[in-house]
Amino acid sequence: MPLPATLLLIATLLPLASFVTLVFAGKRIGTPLAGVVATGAIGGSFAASIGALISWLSAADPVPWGAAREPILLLYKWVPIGQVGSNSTGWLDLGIYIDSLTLAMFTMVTMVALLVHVFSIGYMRGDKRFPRFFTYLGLFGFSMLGLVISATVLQLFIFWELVGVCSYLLIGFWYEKKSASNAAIKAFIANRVGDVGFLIGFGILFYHLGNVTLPNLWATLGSAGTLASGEAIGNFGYTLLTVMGIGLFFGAIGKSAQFPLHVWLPDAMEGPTPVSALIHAATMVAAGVYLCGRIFPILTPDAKLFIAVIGVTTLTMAALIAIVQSDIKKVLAYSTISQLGYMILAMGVGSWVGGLFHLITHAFFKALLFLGSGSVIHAAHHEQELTQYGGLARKIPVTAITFLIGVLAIAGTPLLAGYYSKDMILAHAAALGYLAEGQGRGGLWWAFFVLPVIVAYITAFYMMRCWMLTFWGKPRNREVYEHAHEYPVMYIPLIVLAVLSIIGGSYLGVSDLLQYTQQESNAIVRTIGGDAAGDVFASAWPVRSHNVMPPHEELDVAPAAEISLAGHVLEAGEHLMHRWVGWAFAIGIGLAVVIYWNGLTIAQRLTALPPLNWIHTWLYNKMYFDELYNSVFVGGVRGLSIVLGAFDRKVVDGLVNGAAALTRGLAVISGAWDKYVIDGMVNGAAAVARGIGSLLRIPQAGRIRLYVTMLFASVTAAVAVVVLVVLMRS
Amino acid sequence: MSSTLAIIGSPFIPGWDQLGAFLPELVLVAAIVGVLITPFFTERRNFACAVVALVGLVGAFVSVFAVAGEDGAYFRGLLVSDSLAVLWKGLLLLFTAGIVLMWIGTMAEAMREGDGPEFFTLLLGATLGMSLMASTTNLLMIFLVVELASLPSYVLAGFRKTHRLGAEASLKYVLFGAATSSIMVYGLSLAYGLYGTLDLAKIAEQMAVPGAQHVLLAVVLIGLIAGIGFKISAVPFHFWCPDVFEGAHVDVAAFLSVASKGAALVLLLRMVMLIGSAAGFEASAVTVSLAWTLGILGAVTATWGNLAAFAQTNIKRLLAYSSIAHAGYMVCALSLLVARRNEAPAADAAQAVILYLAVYLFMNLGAFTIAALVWRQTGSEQIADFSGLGRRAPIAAAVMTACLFSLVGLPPLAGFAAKLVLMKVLFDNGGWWTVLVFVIGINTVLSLYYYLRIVKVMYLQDRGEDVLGGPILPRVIGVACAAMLVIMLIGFGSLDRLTRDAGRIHDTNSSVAAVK
Repeated sequence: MPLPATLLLIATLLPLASFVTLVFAGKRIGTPLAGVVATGAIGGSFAASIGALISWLSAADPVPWGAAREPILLLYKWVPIGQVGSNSTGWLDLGIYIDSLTLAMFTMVTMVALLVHVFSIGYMRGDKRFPRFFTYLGLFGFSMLGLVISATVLQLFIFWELVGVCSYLLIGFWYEKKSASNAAIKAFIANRVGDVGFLIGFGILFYHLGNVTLPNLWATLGSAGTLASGEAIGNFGYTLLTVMGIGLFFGAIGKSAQFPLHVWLPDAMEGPTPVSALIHAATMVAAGVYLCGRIFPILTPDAKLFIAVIGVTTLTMAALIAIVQSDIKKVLAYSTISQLGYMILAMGVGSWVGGLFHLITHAFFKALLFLGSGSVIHAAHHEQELTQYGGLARKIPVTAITFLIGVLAIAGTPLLAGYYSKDMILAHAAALGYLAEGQGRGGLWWAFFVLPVIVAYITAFYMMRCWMLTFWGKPRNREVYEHAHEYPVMYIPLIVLAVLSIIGGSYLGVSDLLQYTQQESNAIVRTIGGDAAGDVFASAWPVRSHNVMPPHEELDVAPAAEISLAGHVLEAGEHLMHRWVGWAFAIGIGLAVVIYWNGLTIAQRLTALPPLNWIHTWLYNKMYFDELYNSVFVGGVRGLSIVLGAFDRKVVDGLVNGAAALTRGLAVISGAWDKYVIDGMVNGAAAVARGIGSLLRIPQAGRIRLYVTMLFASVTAAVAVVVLVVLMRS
Repeated sequence: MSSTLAIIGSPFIPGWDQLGAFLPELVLVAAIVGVLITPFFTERRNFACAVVALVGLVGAFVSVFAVAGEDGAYFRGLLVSDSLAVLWKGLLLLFTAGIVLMWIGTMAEAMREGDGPEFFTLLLGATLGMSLMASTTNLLMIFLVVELASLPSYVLAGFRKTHRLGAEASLKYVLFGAATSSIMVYGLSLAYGLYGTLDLAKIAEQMAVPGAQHVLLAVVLIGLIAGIGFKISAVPFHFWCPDVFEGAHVDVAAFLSVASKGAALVLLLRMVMLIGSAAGFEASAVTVSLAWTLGILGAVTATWGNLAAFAQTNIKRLLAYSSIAHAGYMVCALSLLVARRNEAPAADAAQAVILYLAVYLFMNLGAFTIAALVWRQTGSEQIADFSGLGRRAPIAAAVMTACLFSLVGLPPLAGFAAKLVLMKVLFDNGGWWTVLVFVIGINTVLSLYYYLRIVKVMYLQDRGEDVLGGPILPRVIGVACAAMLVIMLIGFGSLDRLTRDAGRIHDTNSSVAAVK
């Protein structure tokens, strides 16, 4: 087995080992030590991932794999199921698929997970279920890494559900709190709704292709990205492909909390804050984006349009709601939804590298922000309302500074991580706008650029608002202020993440790694499908425009020119993006600093004005999505259940009871045949015998005779039947 | 191996050189002798005998690897050795070793000092018979080894000497066994009379000649099915099973539930396969009626077992009916071994049965071990007394849950893959076999109820009793079994490749005719 594969397998299995150990011995290992065990395991995973990354980057001949060379695909024939679908090997395959994206995800996930583990040892100390917390974290680590290393769509789905289970368990970790257990259930149900779509998409895929590996999938359907309506690839018509793509994407809608299933993520903040940082900000919720990245080559233009619409809706909606939230974790939750919207939008507009790049950088600064908020909440004795904070910078300076770095990174301040990834997405969106305009597809495509640009300003504003209200100004709650303090075990992860948020964009080479991924995918697809298979990322934008000029004013793209002009169009898009977003961070942050300089005074005055106060109420109540779903779905179901309940009681119950009685009867008749029937006969016989004073009082004697009689009777009957059959046949 | 033996012994005993292929059995015989003389050397006779038996079983298990690959017919065709036989012997010896460990962990203290030598002599004797059951195609040997497996089992069933139920169970077992043996030997004698040979392969060839079937052949086959069906406890030959399981100790019940049934299934598999392959897997009067008989037998057995399990309150009775049901599933697959137009489905079905047996072995051992642990600590065999086990003995409860889920056939446990493959093999052949798939499917749903009832009792009903202490060994066995169930699911592909050859025995059987 190639070295990176071995290392990554070890990295995947270490958290599982920690999970198994803690399940059985967690209580005995005890409070600080259980955390150390889990941290050690994930630390080992991190080390193994780094090792794999190094060997991956330094790979050279004679091995075929390596960065920008070929991916590693190892398959293990698992359950023999025979021929299902055209691409099937007759087996349900399990496998690992490793390319540069896998390695980037592994390094990011294990690093963030390690830091969150360390942070949790401090944060969760004193909780009575401390070992169980780390047990769940171990299971999550295994599931998340398993998801990333999966080679087949079936495996993806299995681990997809496993991370969902972990998320459920951890949101409801403090299940004594009604709100926490409700939030867990809500998350679970919202994800199930999305997963129904996933299952439909997967069903279509499985029916036609069988249990395919990712490279096989790309080799077969890789040309979907440039497919025109009405064309077909093999059995797959354009509509079927679109439906399948959207179906698979529904899984991402649920997991990545996209409109309209976003409602679970803010409630998921009921879980412990380290969990919010790890699962509901950095890793699991990004799995939807990862899935989109993996199925990107098989998405038709229409499927991508759908994805882009969902993404742009989500990012706008969530950013607006985030402006007015007063709970620090709710602000971050909506900011996460909004940023995930950017990534999903990126997938929709063909910014493959941009979306995944943003996934990685976002993981750094959002984990930083969440852990920072955890530090604040811990310092403030579990007070989460921004209205109760203020002036905390003096008390917890390390948290304040690192949090500020996180805010700057997410706002898109130049040279910080978020700047590079967000700009790449916006440039690609602008380029798509030019392209659509050139092809005469209408100006609405500009919405994919204009709305995210506006939201970029809003993002800077609401994040800075959050910082100002927490750390700046006068303390609004003396008691919270007086008792605030911070611990090294908690702020050291913050410092590491702050450094990563600064250098993650330009110096770690993440975007280069992602570009290699495209080359690697193409290489393996050509190995499988021959040279005809071509470039499966043909519909994705290149990372940078390599063309020298011409200036974008001269750019009148003729409808026929299309993709060949991608370079020009991209050039133009970059210019446009720089013109409009260049100073967004400064304007947004500046506005927030001005308004919240003195705490909430100005903001309260503003929100008292007539049109603004309505909007404020509307946004404060999260656009009434919860109420809407409650009345439409919950209420509807309840109403239906009343009607059906009546029907049940009146009509179905009779049938069911009848059936139950029948089953019970059957069970009694055949099930207890030996016991009751024979016993009955025997007892009857015994009673008679007793009555006439016979000595035959041992029931077992009669019983075995009956047994043997039954035996001979059935053998005789069988002989008779078979003789008849044989006679008839011959 | 054989050559060394040949040089030493061939001048004195004819056929001595062929003994090498049956090294596991020889080791077992040596272990029996060891168990018999051990008591002369030690005071702790029970424990010492257990250790000797364990060593013997492990030695026999290791020697299975030595004889793997020495395929062919031995002793003028009285015994055969091939991949199927070797595989079964490995499984059987591993399982019996597990039973001995289970005895040490749970039952040892309950046995009167001095009973050990008898107990282990009988256990090893039965194992010897069951091991040879997989390795013969000769009518005489079939009868001999079935009796060799049965007679010690009768005594083992009654080993709970002071217990009225135990004595009763033993007596029932003997009488019922005698009745079925008589039917079987009647059928066998008719076969000899009809064809003039004891070699089943030759009989099968003559059966396959078109127009040569005699009506009496039906009686022959029925006799065979009755004799083996008794050991499999297929309905209507199952009456003894629940009573014997209830009356016997848990370890004996566990032993019978897998070893006895498995050996009989392997024997039946081999016989049916021979008949099918001699007929070229073509549909003829014999093969079609045999397929129908087995299919109906399997379906009825599975359904009957599951329905009857509903009403049980005793864990051993419940597991007895569960084992009847599982035997039913496997018999269903055996119906595929005859009457297909080519050999591939038959080979697949044979392999599916073997895989199922391998998985079934671990889940049953695990479940019985926990039942034995509970019995040891509480003295009760009632399901109601499993209440609160999730709190009182978390590891034991987790193992029990895993084994029960696997018995239902739920992922992520090996029972799932085993059942999936079994059903898929049946489904692929269409026709009436689809009905069997539905029967198994419905039965799986039915079985969910009574298996999960135990889980419910363990986790959701708590009478607040004390924490269950007790020995660590049974928990280790249980955890090992549960781990095996997970490992076997993950490693199902490897397992499949390992057992691939076992399904292709008819290829080696054709060489049986050319007796060494």
